[in-house]
Amino acid sequence: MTETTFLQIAQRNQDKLFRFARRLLKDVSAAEDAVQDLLAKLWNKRHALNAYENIDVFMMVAMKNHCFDEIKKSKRRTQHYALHAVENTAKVATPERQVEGITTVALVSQLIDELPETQRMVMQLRDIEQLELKEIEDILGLQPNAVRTNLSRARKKVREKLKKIHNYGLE
Amino acid sequence: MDWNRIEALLDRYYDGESTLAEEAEIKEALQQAEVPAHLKAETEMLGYFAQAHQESSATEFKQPTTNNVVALKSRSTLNLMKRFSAAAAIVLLVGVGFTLLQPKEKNCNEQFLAKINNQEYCDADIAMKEAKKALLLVSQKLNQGTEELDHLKSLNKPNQINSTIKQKLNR
Repeated sequence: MTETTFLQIAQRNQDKLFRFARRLLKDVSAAEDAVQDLLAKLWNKRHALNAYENIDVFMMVAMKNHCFDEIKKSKRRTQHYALHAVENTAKVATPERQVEGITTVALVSQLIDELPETQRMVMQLRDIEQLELKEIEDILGLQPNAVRTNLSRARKKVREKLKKIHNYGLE
Repeated sequence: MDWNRIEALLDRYYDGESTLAEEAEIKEALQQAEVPAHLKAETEMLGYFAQAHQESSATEFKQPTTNNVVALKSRSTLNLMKRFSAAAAIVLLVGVGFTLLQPKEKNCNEQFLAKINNQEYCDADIAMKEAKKALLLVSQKLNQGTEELDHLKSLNKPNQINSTIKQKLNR
């Protein structure tokens, strides 16, 4: 793969990779770093990239694996503070507490971040990136049925939470 | 707007069965000014998806130049390099320390050189001591050897008894 081709592909995929990383790492600057790290890694291997049939899917798979590694690393790093972390997530995980003063966009984003990992990834790839189910299967290594089930659960869960928050607000 | 059709599409949407085209149709319908009140959750959710799709990464990936090759290397490799160089530095320090702390006697004038047990000495006093030690060791070993030989004397006992008996008989 020539340098120009690589840069074209990188530019085409960069924002999608960033949004995917952000959804997995739940942190904007960590996601920025992850994308730059991954693209730099792939740049060094660009001569071997011709072998991949669908380079866009390949990049998403690589992004997913890179983020999983980062998550593992940060878990190892924060193991000592596990108790502290649990306290923090307990506060964040209750959407009702933060409803006031939060925009709808930020609220929906937060609700998606609270989904289990697979549901979160499937929703990101389908509802936000509008990828075909086949591509999602390839990126996540899931069976067609599993993609549909996770998607259905994620959509229903976000709807239920939104409805609950609205009712709470009205009372 | 045919809201019955949209509701039917939403059912398929929540089951994870809708196509991308159908999802686009739902999104378009929900962007209308007059959306039924009970579809508020859907409006917010799909509204967020459209907005989230626009989110882009702040840093653009640029073709790496030879000047920023170091920056190119992912941080994990850099960390590994740091660790290796630290280990190498320690090995180097230990090596240099050992060579500096070696006894310098080997470099003395050949005239005063004494070689004892494969060790070379220049200082006459120390050489004398070492020589004494070595000779003492030799004599010790020699004494041990002769002690063992003492037992041979007992082999002569029967002969002595024989000769005393003979003497007595001859009398």
